[in-house]
Amino acid sequence: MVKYGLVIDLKRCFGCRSCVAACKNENMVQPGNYWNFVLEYEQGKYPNVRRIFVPMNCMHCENPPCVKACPAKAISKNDAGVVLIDYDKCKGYRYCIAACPYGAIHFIDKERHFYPEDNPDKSPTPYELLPAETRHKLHRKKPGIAEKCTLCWHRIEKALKEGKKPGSDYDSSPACVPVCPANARHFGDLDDPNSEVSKLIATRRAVQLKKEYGTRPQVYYIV
Amino acid sequence: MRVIIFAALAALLLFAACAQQPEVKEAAKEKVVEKEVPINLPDTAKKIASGEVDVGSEFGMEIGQRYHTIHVDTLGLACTTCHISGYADDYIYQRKYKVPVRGAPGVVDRGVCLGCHKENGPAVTALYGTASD
Repeated sequence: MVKYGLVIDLKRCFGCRSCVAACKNENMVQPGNYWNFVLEYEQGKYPNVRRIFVPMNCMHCENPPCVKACPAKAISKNDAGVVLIDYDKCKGYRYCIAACPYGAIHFIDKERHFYPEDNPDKSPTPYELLPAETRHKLHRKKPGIAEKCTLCWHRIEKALKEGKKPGSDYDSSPACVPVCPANARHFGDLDDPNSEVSKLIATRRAVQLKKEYGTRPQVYYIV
Repeated sequence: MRVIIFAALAALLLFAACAQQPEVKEAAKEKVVEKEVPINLPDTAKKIASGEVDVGSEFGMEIGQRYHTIHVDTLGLACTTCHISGYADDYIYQRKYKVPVRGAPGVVDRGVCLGCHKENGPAVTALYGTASD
């Protein structure tokens, strides 16, 4: 079995938000919603103050509360440990949003377009006008449904079909990983003891967020 | 003489205002605590799950739909049980920059959900597992 996950080194992250931009671009996430977001806050007291950046996306929990909460059974965890929303089944009840202790799921209330100030008629950009049939099914979103990070499953799926090891190169990794200029993001199989992520978890101080919820996240943070 | 009369009137008004304050406070308290929480929460939860207690069939988060009908109307939770004015600066929650929709009284701390929806908790739907090491 494989179990894909991320390890994010908070000691290296300096909050540039390259991951956020790459995710938005790759996954056609409309304005106002984020599959990837960087939280920031201050720690300490003057003059010993530091700024903490915490990049957050779906934790792809081993015990995902969103799956149990969804009355429409629209959320599932696949064989590779990735939690995905089926947009055809989603009815927009938003129970998943209420259940997720990480705030990783967003609701698409209405269609929003980028750069409305540049388009007097508020028409979508050519990128947003790409027809649904040309997009991966995980990018065929519509108003009235929930959306969240897919760990770029479309890339992992493609890599597996091509016989490549997910995470082995730029195109087979989640979009947020290779763009990180600080090399703070690492992707791989958590079940493989020889993978980079497993080694990082074993050798560095890697923690999961909000363990009290018993969700067993597949995203680890080096603190 | 005018100054003395004015001071006496002011003192009288102040006394009257203070005398009314406990009533105002009581009224505000009654408004916040809308209903008593049922004593047997697990039993009520089971009745909701079995359909013995009718909470409607329309799923959704709006007032009048199942979610709030269960938590507010049936279980009697006050708005302030779940909704708080804001998150702490270091609260780790991705959607913290978003406010709940349509005039909700505030954001929600998921720690409140954990109280009942944990494994072996009083709620029928155990959303969360056991805290891991």
